[in-house]
Amino acid sequence: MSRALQEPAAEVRPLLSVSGLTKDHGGGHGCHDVAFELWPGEILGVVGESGAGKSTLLDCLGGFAAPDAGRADYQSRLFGPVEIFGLSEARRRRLARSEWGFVHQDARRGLRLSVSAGGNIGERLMAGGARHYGDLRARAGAWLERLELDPSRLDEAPRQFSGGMRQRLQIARNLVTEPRLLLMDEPTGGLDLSVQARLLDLLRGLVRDLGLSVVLVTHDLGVVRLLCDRMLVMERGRVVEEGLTDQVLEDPQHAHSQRLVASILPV
Amino acid sequence: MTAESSRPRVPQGAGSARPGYNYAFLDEATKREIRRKLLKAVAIPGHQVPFSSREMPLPPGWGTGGIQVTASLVGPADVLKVIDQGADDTTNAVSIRRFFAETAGVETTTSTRRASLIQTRHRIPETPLAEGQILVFQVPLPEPLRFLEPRESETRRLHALAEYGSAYVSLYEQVARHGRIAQSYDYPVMVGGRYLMRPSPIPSFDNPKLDRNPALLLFGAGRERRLYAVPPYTPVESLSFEDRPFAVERSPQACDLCGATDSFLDEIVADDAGSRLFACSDSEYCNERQRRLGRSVVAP
Amino acid sequence: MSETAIEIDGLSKGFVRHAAGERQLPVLGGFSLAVAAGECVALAGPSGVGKSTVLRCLYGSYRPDAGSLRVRHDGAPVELVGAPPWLVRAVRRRTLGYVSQFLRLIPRVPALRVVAEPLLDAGVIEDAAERRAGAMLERLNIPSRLWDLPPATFSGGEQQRVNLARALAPAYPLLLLDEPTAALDAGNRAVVVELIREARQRGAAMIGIFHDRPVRDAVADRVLEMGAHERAA
Repeated sequence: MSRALQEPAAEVRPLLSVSGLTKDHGGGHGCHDVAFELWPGEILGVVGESGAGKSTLLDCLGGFAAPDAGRADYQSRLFGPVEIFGLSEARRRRLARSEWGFVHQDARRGLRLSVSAGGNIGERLMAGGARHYGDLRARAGAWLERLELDPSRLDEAPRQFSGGMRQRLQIARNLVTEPRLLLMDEPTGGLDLSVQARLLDLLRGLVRDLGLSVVLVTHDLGVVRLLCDRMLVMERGRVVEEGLTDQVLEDPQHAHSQRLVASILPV
Repeated sequence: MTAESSRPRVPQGAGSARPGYNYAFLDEATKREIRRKLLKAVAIPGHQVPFSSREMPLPPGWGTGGIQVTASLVGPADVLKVIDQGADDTTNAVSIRRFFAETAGVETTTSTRRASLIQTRHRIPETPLAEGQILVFQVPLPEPLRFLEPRESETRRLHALAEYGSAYVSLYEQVARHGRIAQSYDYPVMVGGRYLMRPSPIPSFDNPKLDRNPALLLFGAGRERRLYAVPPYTPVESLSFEDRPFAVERSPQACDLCGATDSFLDEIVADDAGSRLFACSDSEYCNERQRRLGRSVVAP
Repeated sequence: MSETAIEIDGLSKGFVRHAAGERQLPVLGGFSLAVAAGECVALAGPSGVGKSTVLRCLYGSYRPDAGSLRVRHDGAPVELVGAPPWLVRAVRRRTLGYVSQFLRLIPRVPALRVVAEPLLDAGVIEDAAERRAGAMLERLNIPSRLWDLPPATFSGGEQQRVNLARALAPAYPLLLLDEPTAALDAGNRAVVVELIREARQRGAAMIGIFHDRPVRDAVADRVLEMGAHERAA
C-alpha cells in the first residue's frame, strides 16, 4: 500500500516540539524545564493535581503567558517551521486564529456571550477575510450540526445555552478554520457526567476526521483514558512521567503517577 | 442672512481677537502640539493619534475636540462655517461661530462654498466640497472596535495588526437580527484600505461623500483625546458583505421646502396638531434652493 | 520454514511499588520465545507466572526492564523496547492486535463503530470498514439490532464478543490473545476457535493464553509451559 510507505515519513516529524519550557510564577508555581513532542493526529494528555503547572504550560503555548525560557518548534501550514515564542506578534496571532485553537474550561472566556452562535463561529472566518454573509451563515450552521447543536439556534446568543452546549459552541468556533493544533484546558470540567461523555465522544470523532493534534490538560484520568494517545504526568511544575496512555495507566513508573493511578475508581 | 454675517466686519488679523485672550483662545504651544498631531494623523490616514485635550469653555461632548482642531488651524484669512446636524442656526453652531468670531476675529459664513474651514457635528454638507477646504468633525466616540473590545490596549493592537474581523462580527449580527445592516449612523469605514475608522455620527447617507473627497477631513474627539484625518482624495470604503453591499437609504419623500430629492431629510413636527413635514437637514443647501426657485425662504 | 514474526529475547519485567516502601515485585526474568508466521503459541503455567505480562510487554502497555522484543512490521523487523511512541502506535495500527479479557468501554459509541474503529484508524474507508465490522459481529452472533447500541448496555459475553470482533476484524499479521473465550458459551467458543484457525491459515503469528484446555488444544501449535526458570530472582 502506498499509504503504508508514506505514513512513517509524516510520522517521524513532530507537529510541535517543546523543550526547556519554564515559566516561574514564584513560590514553586509555574512549570519548569518541560519538554515534549506532539505528533500529527495525536492527542496528548497533560495530567497532574491542581498547581502542578499544567495550565501554565498551556497558557504559554496559547500565548496567554510569556515563558521565561524554552522553545517550541511548530510546523506551520502558513509559514513552515517556526519557533512560536520568537514569532512576531502579527504572525503568532495569525496562527492563533487560523491554525491553532484554544478551548477554555470556562466557555465564557472563549465566546462572545452577547453575539449570536453564528457570529461566534463566523468570527475567525471573517478575521481571515471571509466577506460573504450567506457563506458565513451556511458554514456556521454546518458547524453547529457537526457539534450536535440545533442549527435553528444559529441566531441565539450563547447566554441562552446550557454549559455543555456552550462548550460545544466554543469548540465549533475554534474548529471552523480547521486548525492543526488544538489546546484544551479541562474541556469537560464542570459539566455533568452524561454531558461529559457526549462531548468526549464528539471530540474523538472530530480529532480523527480533521486530523487534529491536541494538547489536553485535565486532572481527570478517565478523560485521558478515553481520549488520549499519550500522556505526561506533571508534579510541582515538572514532567515526572511520559508514555502511551495505557503504559502510564497500567504500568506507572513514578511514585506520583502511581499515586494518581491508584486514586481512580475501577471502571 | 444670519445675525453674524450682517454684523460690521471686524478688521482681520491677530490684533482683532478679543483682548485678554490668546488668539483663538488656546495658547500657541497647545495649538502647535495639535497641529503636529494633525500632521501625523494626515500622514497615517484613519489612524487615531492621541493628543492632550485641553479644558475648553464648554463641557466635553459639546464639540471640544472639533473646537480645539479649529482653534489650532484658524487664521485671519479664513472664512468659518459651523453646522450642527446640518443647520447653521442651532444654539451650538451659533455659539461656536460666535466664539471664533470673538477670539479669532475670523469672518464667518453660512455658505459651504465660501467657507475655507467648516466645523461640523453629525453631517457633511450637501454642497460638494472643493480642494483647499477643511472639514472638522466633532467626534464623541472615536474607537470603532469598542463595541466588541473594551480594552484600549487591545484595540490599539488590533489596529496595529489590521485585525478587523470583530468589526464584521457586528455587521453580521445586524444582518442576522434585522435581515440587513441596520446601522444608519456612524457607519464604520476602511480608510485607504488600512485603518478602520468611525466617521462620527454622520448618517450613513453621508458615507459616500467621505470617499476621495477633495477636501481635507479632520476629526477631533475631545473627551477621548484622539485626532484622526482623511487627507484629500483618500479612498474610504464603507464596510459590507459581498452579498450585502453597502447602500444608502434614501427617503421616498422630497424636501417639503425646496423639493430636493438628493439631500438628507429631517422629519419635523410642524404644528401643534402633530402634522409632519420633511425638510433638508442642510439648512444652507435648502435655503439656497428655495432662493433659486424664487420662493420666500423658510428656515427648515 | 516460515519467517520469524515475533522474537522475544531475554525479556525481564518487574514492578516497583513506591507507595509500599519501594517494594520490588519481579515477574519475568530472561524470557525468550520466537513465533513464526502462521504459528500459534500458547503460554501456560500457574497464575502469576507472567503470561499476561509477556503479552502486555509485547503490546507496549508494560515497559520492559531488559531484553529485546522484535516484531515484523511493514515487512521488516522492528525493535519495540525503547521504540518511539509513534512507532508503537503505527505497529498497533497496522500490525499488532490485542484481545484483552475486558472490553474498554467507550460511552455512546455504538457496537458497529467500536468494531470499525481500528479499521478506520488503519485507513480503510468508512463503508468498507462498517461492512467488515458487520460481518464480524454477525459471525460472533451479535444480532444486528444491537449494532447501533453502545456495548456498555450489553451482557458480559456480548461485550467480550464485540471485543473479539474489534481485534479480529482488521486481520492483523500478529495477534495477542488473553483468554479470548473466558466468558463465552460453547457455541461462541467454537466460532472463536474457527476465527483463530482462519487467522493462522492466512499467516498470522499468535501468542495466546487459554485457560480452556479444549480451545487451547484446538488452536495451539505448541504450548510453552512457563515456570520458575523464567521468574526473576
